[in-house]
Amino acid sequence: MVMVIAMAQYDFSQVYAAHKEMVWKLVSRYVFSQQDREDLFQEVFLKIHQGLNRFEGRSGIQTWIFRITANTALNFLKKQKRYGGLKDILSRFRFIEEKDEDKDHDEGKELSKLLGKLNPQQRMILIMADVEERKLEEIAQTLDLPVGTVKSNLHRAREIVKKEMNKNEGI
Amino acid sequence: MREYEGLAGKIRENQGRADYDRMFERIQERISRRRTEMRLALAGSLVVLFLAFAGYYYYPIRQAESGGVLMSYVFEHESVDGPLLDYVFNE
Repeated sequence: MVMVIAMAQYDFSQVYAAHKEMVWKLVSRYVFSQQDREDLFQEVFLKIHQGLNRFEGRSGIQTWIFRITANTALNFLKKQKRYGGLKDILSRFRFIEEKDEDKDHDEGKELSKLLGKLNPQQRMILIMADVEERKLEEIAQTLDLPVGTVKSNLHRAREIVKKEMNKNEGI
Repeated sequence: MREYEGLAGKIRENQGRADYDRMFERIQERISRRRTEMRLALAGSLVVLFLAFAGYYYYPIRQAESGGVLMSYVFEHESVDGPLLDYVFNE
């Protein structure tokens, strides 16, 4: 009975209204083009919709949504990395038109280029640790990784980014 | 020199614009499309299951009707002076 009440208290549109800004903020840190952000944002809420009936409230809903967002973003980045090369080739031959987006996109492009040197896992860990300032244990729990792996990935990611920044400085 | 720490701030500030109503509409569209797809998939698999069952059930009977397969008699009652025993003992 308690379970039924706990499950019934989450209505999707209410969850959307209450957490849309938080999800957008997170999504904006993980991907940098407007199109990617919108795609990822929708993907996250589709997952939330799918899982809402099964959400038992063992953790807070905010924590649950954060976990979904982080893992969806990680999968999104992996997919992007896998098909990124193909997309580049197609756009070179103009099968896919590059959208002319606003000036925010230039900065986004710069950030994408910089973080594009990292693999998706390193990228997520770096953002969660250095941008969102989350503890290593929390990152490990969210991404379902050992703390040691998180630590080594973070160290490597920082090195790569710093190196890339220095390289850009030198030009 | 650009500092590494500055990067975190840059990422935090880089937010873009969000049209929440439009995105909510799209999410709703995708949810209803997914529901329709799931219903179709369910209906399709029920049809396949039904056809498979019908095929499994009727195929031996049809073969028996055309006088082909002995094993198909297991689906029917056989009397003592029926054709099966007649076939076994006399042919």
